[in-house]
Parts: sequence; C-alpha cells; structure tokens
Amino acid sequence: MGAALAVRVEELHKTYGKVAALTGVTLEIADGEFVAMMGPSGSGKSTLLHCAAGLDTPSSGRVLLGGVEVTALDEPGLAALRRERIGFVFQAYNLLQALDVADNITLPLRLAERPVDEAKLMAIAARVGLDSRLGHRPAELSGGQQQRVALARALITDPEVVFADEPTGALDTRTAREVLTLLRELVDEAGQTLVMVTHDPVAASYAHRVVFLADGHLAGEALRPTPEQVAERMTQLGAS
Amino acid sequence: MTDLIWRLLKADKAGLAGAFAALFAASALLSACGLILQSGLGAGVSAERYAAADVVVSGPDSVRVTIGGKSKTKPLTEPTTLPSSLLKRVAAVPGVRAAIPDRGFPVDLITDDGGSPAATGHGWSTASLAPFTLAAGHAPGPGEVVLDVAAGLRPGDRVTVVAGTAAPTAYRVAGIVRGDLRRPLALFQDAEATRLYGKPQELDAIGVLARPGTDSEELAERLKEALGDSVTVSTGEARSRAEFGDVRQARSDLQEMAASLIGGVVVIAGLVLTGALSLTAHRRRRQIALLRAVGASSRHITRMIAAETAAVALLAGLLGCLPGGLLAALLLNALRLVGLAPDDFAISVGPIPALAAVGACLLISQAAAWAVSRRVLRPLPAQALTEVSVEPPRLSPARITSGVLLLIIGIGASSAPAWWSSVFAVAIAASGGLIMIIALSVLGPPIMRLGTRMLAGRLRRTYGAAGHLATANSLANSRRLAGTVSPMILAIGFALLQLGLPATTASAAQRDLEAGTLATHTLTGGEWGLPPGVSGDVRKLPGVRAATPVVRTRVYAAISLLDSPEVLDYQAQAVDPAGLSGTADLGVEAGSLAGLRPGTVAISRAAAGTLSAKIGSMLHLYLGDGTPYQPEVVAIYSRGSGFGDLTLPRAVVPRSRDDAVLVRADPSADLGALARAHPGLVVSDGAAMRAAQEEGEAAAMLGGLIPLLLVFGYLAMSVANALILAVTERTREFALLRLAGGSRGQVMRMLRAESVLIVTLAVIIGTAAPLLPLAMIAYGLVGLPLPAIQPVTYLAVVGATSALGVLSVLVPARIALRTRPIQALSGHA
Ligand SMILES: Nc1ncnc2c1ncn2[C@@H]1O[C@H](COP(=O)(O)OP(=O)(O)O)[C@@H](O)[C@H]1O
Ligand SMILES: [Mg+2]
Repeated sequence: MGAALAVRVEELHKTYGKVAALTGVTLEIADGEFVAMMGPSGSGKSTLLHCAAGLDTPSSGRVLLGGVEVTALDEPGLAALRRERIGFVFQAYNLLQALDVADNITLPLRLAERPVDEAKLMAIAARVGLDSRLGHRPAELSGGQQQRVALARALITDPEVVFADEPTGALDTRTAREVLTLLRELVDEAGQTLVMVTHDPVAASYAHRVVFLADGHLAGEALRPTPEQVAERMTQLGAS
Repeated sequence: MTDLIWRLLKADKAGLAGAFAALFAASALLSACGLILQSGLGAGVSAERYAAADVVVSGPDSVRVTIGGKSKTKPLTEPTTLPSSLLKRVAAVPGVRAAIPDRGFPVDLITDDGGSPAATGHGWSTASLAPFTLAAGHAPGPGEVVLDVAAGLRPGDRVTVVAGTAAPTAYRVAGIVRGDLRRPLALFQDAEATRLYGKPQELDAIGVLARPGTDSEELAERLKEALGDSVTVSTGEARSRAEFGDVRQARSDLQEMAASLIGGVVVIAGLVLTGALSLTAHRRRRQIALLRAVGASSRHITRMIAAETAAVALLAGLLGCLPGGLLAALLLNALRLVGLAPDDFAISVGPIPALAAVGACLLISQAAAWAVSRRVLRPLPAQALTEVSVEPPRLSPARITSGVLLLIIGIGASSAPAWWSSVFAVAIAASGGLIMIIALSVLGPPIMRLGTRMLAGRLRRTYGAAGHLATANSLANSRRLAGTVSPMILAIGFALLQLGLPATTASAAQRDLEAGTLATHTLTGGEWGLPPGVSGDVRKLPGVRAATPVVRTRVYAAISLLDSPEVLDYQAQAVDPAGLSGTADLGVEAGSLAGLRPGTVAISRAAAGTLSAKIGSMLHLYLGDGTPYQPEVVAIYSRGSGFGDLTLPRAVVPRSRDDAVLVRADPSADLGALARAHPGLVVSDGAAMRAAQEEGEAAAMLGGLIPLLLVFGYLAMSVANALILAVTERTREFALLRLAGGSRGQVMRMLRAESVLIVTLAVIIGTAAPLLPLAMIAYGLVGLPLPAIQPVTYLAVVGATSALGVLSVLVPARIALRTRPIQALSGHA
C-alpha cells in the first residue's frame, strides 16, 4: 500500500496506575486500509484503539490522524474530532434508547449542528439494511440490527477512519458474517479506512492486514491472512 | 443466593445514598417534632410560688364533652377558678397540714416615670407555699404591700397600685422578698387580697402543705378521691401548670403544633421515600432482571429490597436523631423569639422521641419498599432485560384509576368551602389541595408527556440539537421525569398551600375590619388590659357618641359529629351591646344584635355553618374558663374573620378588666384627658384594631412558618435528592453522547434544556394545584375567589424551588462529565 497515511501511532505508552496497558506501540495505517487487531485478552487492544481515536489520552507518545496531532488536542477539539473525522463502533451497541433509529444515526450531525441530509440518511440506512426500521426504538431491534445502527451512525459523518472494537463479539456467527461482509464492502466500494479489534480469526481474515498485540506491544503482523494462519499465530501468542 | 443478591444490591451506593438521605432527614424531623411534643407534655417551667406546696389543687384544666359514651377533651388555656367552699373539704383530708387559698388578680404598679409594669397580686399567706422570705421589712398590714426585688423599691417607699378593679391607690412598701421571679409580684394582707380579687365565693387554687412524713403522691391520690374529677390535683413538675397561664398556653400550642407537624411529616416522608426508592429501583432494573434471569424469585427480590431498606432505615433513623435534638432546640428557640413559648420554657429530653422516630422511619420505609418492589417486579425479567432502560409506556389501569379517583376527590374536597361555610370545609379544602398534588404525581408520567409535547417546539427552537435531545429524553423517560418533577410539585404546592391559607384568612379578617369598623378611637391598656373604670368614664365624656367595651376570649363549642363528640375552639369577643351599633358593624345577616343579653349569643356565618345553627338554635358552649354556657342564637353575621366567630354579651365573661374599648367620638371629645386620668391607658385611632389584628396575624403566621421551614427544608432535600439520583443514573448516556461527538458543553446544554422543562412543569402544576382550594377558601370567607398570597412570597417559593432544581441537575451533571466518556462506559471509573 503506497497510499497516504490515515493514522500514525508513535511510541505510544499508557499506564493505568500500576498497570502498563501499552508499552511503546508504533503503527501506521494507510488510507483505505482495513486492519484487524488481535491479541490475548488484556493485551491492550482496546486501549490502543481508544488512544488512536482520541477517546483516551496516552501517557506518552503521539497519535497523528490525517496529519492532525490528536494527542495535542484539548477536550473541545477532541469532541470535534470525534464528531467530524472519526467513527466508532463498540461491542455493546451503545445506542441512545430514548431516540429512534433515524435519530440515533443522525445524532453526530445534530451535535455538529449540521443539516441532516435525508437522502444520505436513506442511502446509509439502505447500505446497512435498515431502511425499513428508521422509526423504531433500539430496544425493538435484534443485536445485529442494533450493531448496524451503530455502524450507520459511525458512517454518517463520512469519517476518515472507522474504529471498531469487537463489533461482532456479541453477535451470532451468521449475523457476524453479514456485518463483516458489510464492513469489507465499505472498504472495497467506498474506500473506507477501517481498524477493527477482534478475537475471531475468521473475522480477522476479512482484513487486508492483521497486527498482533501481546502485553502492550506489537508482536508481529500478517498480510492477507487466512483464518488458519491467524489461529495458529494466536495459539503461539497465547502460549508464550 | 441471598448473600449474593445482598452484595449486588449493595453495590449501588448512589441509589442507597438517596434513600439514606431521605430517611435521615425524616428521622431528624420526626425526632425534633417528638421532642417538641414531649416538651409540650412536660412541665416547661418549674413552679415558683408553689415550689414548696406538696400538692396544688386547681380548677379543671380541660373541657370534657361526652356524647353517647364517647368523650372528647380540649385543654383550657385561660385561668379557671374553684368554689371557696372546697377549702374546708381539702383541709379535712387526712395528711393535710395546711390548705392555703390562692387568689390572684391583676396589679399595675404605677411608677413615677409613667410606666406601669404588670404584676400579679396575691395574699401574704401564699408566701409560705414558695416559701418567700423577706430580704427586708415586714409582712404587709392594711394599706401595705410586699414586692419582689425587681421592683427596685425599699421598705417605706410609697407606690401607686391599680389592683383588680379598684381605683389607683397609694400603698406603702412593707417589705421585699428574695428571689428572681418570672413575673413581678405584689403581696397584700389576706383580707385585702380577697377583696381585690372581687369574687368572694371563688379562688384560683389551693396550695396544700402536707403533715411531716406524708408522701405527696399518696396525698394527691386521697385529694383526688375526696374532690372528684372537676378539679386538677398536681404535684412535682406539674404544679407550674396551675401557677402560670402562659405556660399552659404554650404547652397546648406546642402539643398541637408538634402533633400536626408529625402528621404532615409522616405523609410527606412516605411520598418522598417512595419516590427515592423507585428512582433507586429504576437504576437497578437491569440488575434485578439479571438476578431474576439467573433464578432469584420475586420473593427473594421483595425480601431483599425490604431488608436492605430496613437496614438503611435503621442506620439513617438512629443517626438522624442527633441533628433531631439540635433541630428541636433551634425550633424552640425560634418559637421563643416570636413569643409562642415563654423565654424560660425548657426542652424536655428523653429517649422516647428518638425511638419513635426510628420506629416511624422503619415503618415508612417498609411501606415504601413494598410499593416499590411491586412496581419493579411487574415486568417479566426478559422484558426488563431487553428494555435496558426503556420504560413501559403505559401506566397500569389500577394506577390510572386510582390517580383519576384521587384527582376527583381532591377537586371535590377543594371545592368544599364553596357550598359549606365552616372551619371543617377549610380544613377539607386544604387537604383537598394535598390530595390533588398526590393525584398529579400518581398520574405524573402521562401528564409529563403532555407537558413536554406542549413545550417541545419552544425548547427545540431555543436550544437546537440539545433541545431536540432533551425533549426526546423527556418523552421516552416520562416516568423518570415525573419522579423528579413530583417532589418539586409537592414542594411548591405544599408551600403555597401552607403560606396561602393564613394569608387568605388574614386578608379576609382585614377586609372585615376595614368594612366593619365604625369606631374613631380604640382604647387599650397594658398587659392586664384596660385600667378599671375607663369604660364608665369614657361614656360620660362630652362628644363621645358610643363606646363598646370588648373582651377577646376563647369559647369552646361542643357538637356531635358522626355520633362522636367534637370540641371546637373559637376566637370570640364579649361586648357590651349597648353602643355596639355605633362602633362596629358585624354585617348582621339574620336576627339582631339588639337582643344580645346573657343567655344569648351572636354567631358568624362560618361558625353557624359548622355548628348547624340558625336563629333560635341553642348552642352548647364553654367559656374560656370552662364554665358551661348554653345560649340561644339571636344573630348571624358575616364579618366573623375580623371580629371573632362568636359574640357574647360582656356580662357573661367573668374577666375583671376589658381588653379594649371601641369609641365613636366627635372631634371635640377630649380623650387625652381620659388618658391623663388613667395611667397606662393608650388612645389610638379606629384603625388600631386592624393594626393589632394585623400584628397578631403576623406573629401567628411567623409562628406557623417556623415549624414549616423544617418541612420546606425536607422537601428541598427531596427535590435535590430526586434530581441528583436521576442525573447520576445517566452517566452512561452522557458518555455515549460524547463518544458520538457531543462536547461537554452540548451535554450541559441538553441538561439545561431539560431542567428548564422540569422547572416549568413543576411551577405550572405546583401553582395550579393549590390555587383551587385557596380560591374556594377565599370565596367562602369573603365571597370572592381571590386567594391572597403576597407576590414576594410566591416568587420566593417558586424561585427557590426552581433554583434548587436547576442546580441539582447541573452540578451533579458537571461532576459526572468530568469522567472521560470511555471510562464511564467501560466501568473503569
Ligand atoms: N481505565 C482503566 N483503568 C485501569 N486499568 C485499565 C483501564 N483500561 C484498561 N485497563 C487495563 O489495561 C490492560 C489492557 O486493557 P485493554 O486494552 O482493555 O485490553 P484488551 O482490549 O486487549 O482486552 C488490562 O490489564 C486492563 O485491565
Ligand atoms: Mg478490549
């Protein structure tokens, strides 16, 4: 991938009290790349994602997002960054129960005081297969549908990067495949940059590249991996 | 299993803190009220003149009415007397060494500088009951008086005394007694005292000295047996009751105040606690659903909520008693300050109020816990789990039915004064107001949704995206919204009701006096009332067209209510009807005041309504000293609020001095000459009655307000409590908003919009609910449905509640927003 850089993480350290969650991570992600992040539980995947997305501040190191130094931004700057340049999808769908599907999807636009483009809303809803559900409350949807709402919400601002932390972790295999296919389509058809943490070797095999994390640092990577390769690598990491 | 649930429930500290705060404050309030009640039941002040009397026999201390086997008593606050013939019977009881009659009468000591300090006059022989010893001089002989040190005189000095109904007379100071007394004392030779007392066949009390070796309690028993029920026999602390009229009044005031306060606090604490517990339960819906999903039965949950609440109630109840003692002391001090309790009235300490407060907290908490568990357990576990925090949209039919029913009852009760003119109707209307407030909180969620929809457009226009979110939240969480608005409605409604009621009656009284006062002058005196002889002299004065001596007193009316006796006390005036038509216009609607003579009474429309009296009816009354009086009604008048509900002929009230004389005089009349002739006489204009009334009302209002402040404080706490609980529950929601790109400022903006909504709804509903009963009471009193509440008072109530509401939303929100959103979400807070 010779394309421009979307995200650059330099020498990232993060400690929580005595726990060192990240111990010097350096990573580059190119524009339009789909990166999967894997590692044993507690290896620092979520922490890395949060720091990269400006949801958390690292103890030291720098994060650059399309040339902007995330680590130098103040709280309003970070809020604006989250609102305009980043999309985030969690394992728990984290939708606002008081709002219906349409309002949940357009929430970032409203917060940005930007006009809601109905056509765009319809396009994104159709893209994630929710065009018939716009008036429903999250509680009336299945888990897969709720995750699609979360994804649509992440996409509505045309973010430079979408970060997803185990987006399929709470879904059954079939629904998970559907969501993964959808993600891959976004990358292939719309050129979306996507960073996804996952536990599942099959999920990881949808990515262009897999990076492995252990004890807060990078432990290698694999390009265009098959599920079997990923699984084997994971077993080694877990054993070490 | 039990242990596990216990630990899980305990994990929600914030929720428990809410219940704890509500119970802690309730316990403080209840134990304070209990201490006041106990103080009111206790002695308050120690005996002085009777300090050495083993037993004191005095007149009845209450009116007792028996109808159909049921009795009702009402404490008397004015002095009572005994027949002199009782003296011999007391002296004959075995164990009595001496029975000393006490006859007290008003004494004004006229000083050289024109002041006239009020003292009580007694016979010299009563000095042995204290006992008083002479610091100087000797016992009084004819034309002599013994005073206490405070008079500042010495044996041999001369002093002018206005005693009883006698003309001013010069006395020689014979001696000075030792001791620091509650009120100035003047002791006369016994025969002289009896003469000045003026009622040869009566006496105030009999002080009994026991033979050596006689137990005073036993002696008191024997005396009770010998004398029967019509007298009061007291020993020990209780003797001060026979001695001091002001203590009697204060005791009865304190008892009544504390009792009514306790009732109110229990009801309010129940409401507040149910609110706090349901908010707590709401926070834990998911947790409780999870527990049920893994096999906890409904009984487990119910029992656990009950046990947990009981534990909190016990702890909060016990701890709350500490500030309770402090509150009681503060309250009593405040009451002393406004003159509702004597300065030396002591608080009575003891464990009973504290224990009762803890017990009450336990009971209230269990009732609230039961109500809340039922609500929490209604949805099936799966439903509760998937709903996450989305609430069931509809209220249960039972809740809607009971809410509508309560609303109808509240409206009906509030309208009572419109068709029934009676104190009962006023009381019913006031509770009608409270019932409406409760009904509105039962029906809260749909009302909140309606209100939100009505205000939604404005909020969206003003607050943009934040306003949009605020209305969406409020519509989706109307139960939570109702839970936060209800305490504010209660606070505003209760305060307006409690402040508006006395203001409305006071303004009715003012209207009456304004319309009904024909007098040009009012004559008043010092503490003992008018100097004797004024009423006679003023009539002889050239230019005086009419003069009406007035005594203000209390009259008790016995009626049968639903086959049980009820004793009502009324403010009454006793007047000389001769010149009444020239000095006051009571607004006679039926009958005539011309026929007002002993054996008759005139009555206000309101009292007539309560007592179901018509012209010609016979009433069953007791005068202030408990003397039965069964008069025929000869007139019914409208201006009862200003002039008193009952008007008696002056002759039937055995008070020696008048309180005031209303005078209608030509400008030429020289009332100043009258004042010079009668030291201590005060001449003021015709409006003085109104001013005095206004002053009296202001003092009464202040006195009524002081205990209410405690309740307001409690309500304020519950408002803050509810809002803080509701906000802190939403940390997760705020985190989500911020992860979606919302800034802290935007979340705050949304909460500002929500608090504007909350405050607006609370103010509108809280104002509307008490409006109906107050308007109806005003209508019943003066014929105009205009409640009288000062704009300042209204603004203060509404402003304070609103400010508190807004702060209780924004401050905890600001704190909650300090946590980084991702941490708030992951639970790594
Ligand atoms: N807010 C926090 N406070 C304290 N420790 C944390 C916090 N967030 C993560 N950790 C710790 O940091 C380490 C890495 O966590 P995380 O990045 O969540 O791992 P992963 O997502 O790979 O499972 C773990 O030991 C975890 O307990
Ligand atoms: Mg993780």
